[in-house]
Amino acid sequence: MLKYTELVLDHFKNPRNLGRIENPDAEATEGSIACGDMMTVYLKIEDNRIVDIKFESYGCAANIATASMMTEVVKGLTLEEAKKITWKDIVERLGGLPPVKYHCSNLAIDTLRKAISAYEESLVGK
Amino acid sequence: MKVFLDNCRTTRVLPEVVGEVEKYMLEKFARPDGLYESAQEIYDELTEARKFFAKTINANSDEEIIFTSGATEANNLALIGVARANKKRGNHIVVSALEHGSVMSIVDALKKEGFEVTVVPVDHEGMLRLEEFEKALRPTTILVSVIAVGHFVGSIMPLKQIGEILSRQDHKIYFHTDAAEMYAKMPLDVQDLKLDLVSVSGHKFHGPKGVGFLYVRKGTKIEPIMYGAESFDKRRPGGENVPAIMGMKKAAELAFEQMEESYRRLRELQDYFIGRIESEIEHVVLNGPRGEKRTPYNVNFSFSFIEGEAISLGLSLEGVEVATGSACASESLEPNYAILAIGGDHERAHGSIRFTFSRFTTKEELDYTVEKLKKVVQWLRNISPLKAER
Amino acid sequence: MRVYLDHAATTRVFDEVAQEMVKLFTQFYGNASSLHSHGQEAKKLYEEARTKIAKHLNVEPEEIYFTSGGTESDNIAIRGFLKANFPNGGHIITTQIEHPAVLEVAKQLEREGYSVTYLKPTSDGYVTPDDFRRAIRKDTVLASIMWVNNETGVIQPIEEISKIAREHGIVLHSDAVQAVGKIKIDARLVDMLSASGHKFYAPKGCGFLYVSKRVKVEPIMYGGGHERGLRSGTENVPGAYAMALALEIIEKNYEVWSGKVKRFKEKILSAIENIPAHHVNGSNTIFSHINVSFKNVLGETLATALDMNGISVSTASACSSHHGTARSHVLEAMQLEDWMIDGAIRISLGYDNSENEIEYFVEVLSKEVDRLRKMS
Repeated sequence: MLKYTELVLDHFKNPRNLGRIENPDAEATEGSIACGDMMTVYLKIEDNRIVDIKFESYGCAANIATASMMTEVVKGLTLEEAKKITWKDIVERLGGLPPVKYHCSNLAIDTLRKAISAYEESLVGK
Repeated sequence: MKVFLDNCRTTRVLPEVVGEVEKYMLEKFARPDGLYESAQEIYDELTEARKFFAKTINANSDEEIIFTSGATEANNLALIGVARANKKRGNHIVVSALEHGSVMSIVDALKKEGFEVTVVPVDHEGMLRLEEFEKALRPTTILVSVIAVGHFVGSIMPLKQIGEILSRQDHKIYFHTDAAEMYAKMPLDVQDLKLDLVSVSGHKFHGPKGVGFLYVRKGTKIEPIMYGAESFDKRRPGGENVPAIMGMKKAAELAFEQMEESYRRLRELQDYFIGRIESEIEHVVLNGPRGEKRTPYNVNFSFSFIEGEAISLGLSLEGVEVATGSACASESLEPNYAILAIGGDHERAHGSIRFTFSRFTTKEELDYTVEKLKKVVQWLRNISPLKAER
Repeated sequence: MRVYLDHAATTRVFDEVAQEMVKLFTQFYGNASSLHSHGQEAKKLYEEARTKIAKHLNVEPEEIYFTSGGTESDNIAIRGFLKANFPNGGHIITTQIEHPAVLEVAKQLEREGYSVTYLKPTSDGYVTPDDFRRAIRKDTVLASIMWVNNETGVIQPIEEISKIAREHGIVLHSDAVQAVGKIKIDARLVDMLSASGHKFYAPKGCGFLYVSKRVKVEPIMYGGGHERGLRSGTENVPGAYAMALALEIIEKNYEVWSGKVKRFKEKILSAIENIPAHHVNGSNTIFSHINVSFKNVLGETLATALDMNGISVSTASACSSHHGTARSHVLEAMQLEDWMIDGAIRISLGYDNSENEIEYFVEVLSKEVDRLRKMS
């Protein structure tokens, strides 16, 4: 029924950038327990660049794997570059996902973008 | 170590059963309707098989056993066949909220043919609410289908009381049960329970896949759902799957031999397993009833703050195979309705794991499972943004 | 000596196929719909089987649906097609010589308000393309014409009928139960095709149905939505795998095996030629079948006599014998003389028959016909 690629299983077994950041520059949570899919992303930003990113996840293997891959992809990118990353990019990098799981990848990107927006909004008025 | 704890979904075929299947594929392969001696032998053996199965459920006659390609087909024949044949008398069908998906799909399809369906709720333990059940019956009710043992939360339904309620009605209401999780695991007496129709699946008690049977009480008004050459029975045409039937018979013989002892032994293991999980892992909720109301073959827990598909995949990577009620694990992305039916919320469904034993499950396997479970749960809870403060 | 010449009724599973099935029963027994590795492995084998069978028939894998056998496939094809496209009625063309799995469905459909034309065969046992064309009406929605007749082995003119059906936009189903594994089939000629595993050395209890992508069919049974909703029920992985493997084995050995069987058939036919007052029922028959009648000898009596010599053949259709001596509806439709109908036996050869067996059979046949005639 659900066939995961080796890469997805790897990111599931060994997620990258797991955990929290003390005093993050931005933090965002998307999804809900009711949906069975939830993620929190923490960002450390310097000179508009994501120097550190961590995540926590409540959800299925695809959820964990896409979050992990997403953090790997955007770590070190500028905010502008990070905003351009799409869910399809994540799926491609993972070597594909069962279509029914695409929404997990969506969640990862949505959470990232929400964190970036929160950061940018916090700058306004500074 | 590999531990298979998804026996409710399917079981491994026993070597003795494989031997039977092989024998009938390679040596005694004739059809029962041939005109030669080897065919007559097969015919006689099939009749013996029918008699055997009839005896296992205390049916009155071997003619009341119809071999099918499995429980799904048996359910289809029972429900569609009886509904259509009794349409003139009424169009109302009553089922429980814990029916197996196949039954729900069938009654949904029957709605399109003009039948009305009432789904009677269950309580928080997964037991049918008998008062509401009785109230749901109408003069136009022709058929009731209640699963014998809930396949997700393991509740043993009050079939005897249901049978009694139905016998008190002033018109005949056919009583069907999907007994896939009861047959060969605990006693099933169709006279005692006043059942008219019973579906049984071969691959649930170490028989081959692709075979099952439907018990149809003599006198039941029922139509076929397929047409063709009359094998033994007009109600189910097509060549009999002799190897699988004989394999199923062998599997049943072995299962019934050990039925009582297995029930006792697994009850102990079940208590032990539940005890360990509840004392060694925090924030867990047992889904379904405790004790005698529950089949000893089923344990189902929800683990807070983490998600079922991830848990089951994590366990699978450690060699333990289970099932989950999480939406993420289903094609339809809907949480398991059984958890919702017993009053659980979506979160509880998402975090649910079902462990189902076979009569060969050992304490060693369960100890291994608990260790791996602790490891996986701990690890996933570490990654989860949800914490106990909630 | 035991000689099995009733392959059209059922066949013995190939040894290799049985071995593979044992492996599947004991090792890869996972439910193909579940997440864990046991299930995933099973699923992989199941889909591989589908792909192989599709290739064998020259169609796409997603056009193959696994069922519990030929009868079920016929039911899904005909009833499922009508339910999905013409639930309120219409005209169906079939033949008088179809297998009961199609005939009984047709009769039931008549009871439900459909009109059915049953094409009459020639005395040689086939329905003609012209008769098919003439039967077409404005409200014809479906045709079901078998590929090879199970009793006589007569190969029906599917190619020509297919052309006509296409011309008129009529969906064509074919019960190919007796053809699959014996002759090369290009399923593209038809829109739906039924097959049954135990006729081609795969086990009983499994079959498949080809449904062209262009055609919509609804299920007749409901449940977990397996086979893309068309046929619910836990996947019978060993059965599916067995069918694909059996066809593979047949393809590999086809030249040698079919040559062998053809020779055996010729040998038997020569022997029959030497028996006076005989009639071979049907022409343009497949290499496995010989349906023959001997005057003044009842088919059933001859079959019993052969059985007493260890030889298994059949008479009328295997399927009607539960109910006493039913007369063959096929031979009756061919309007053969009474003695031909009552005297008919069906000899169906298989790839596992040997030279010795055929020689023995030929000897016994002549002897028994002679003996029985002296008694009558």
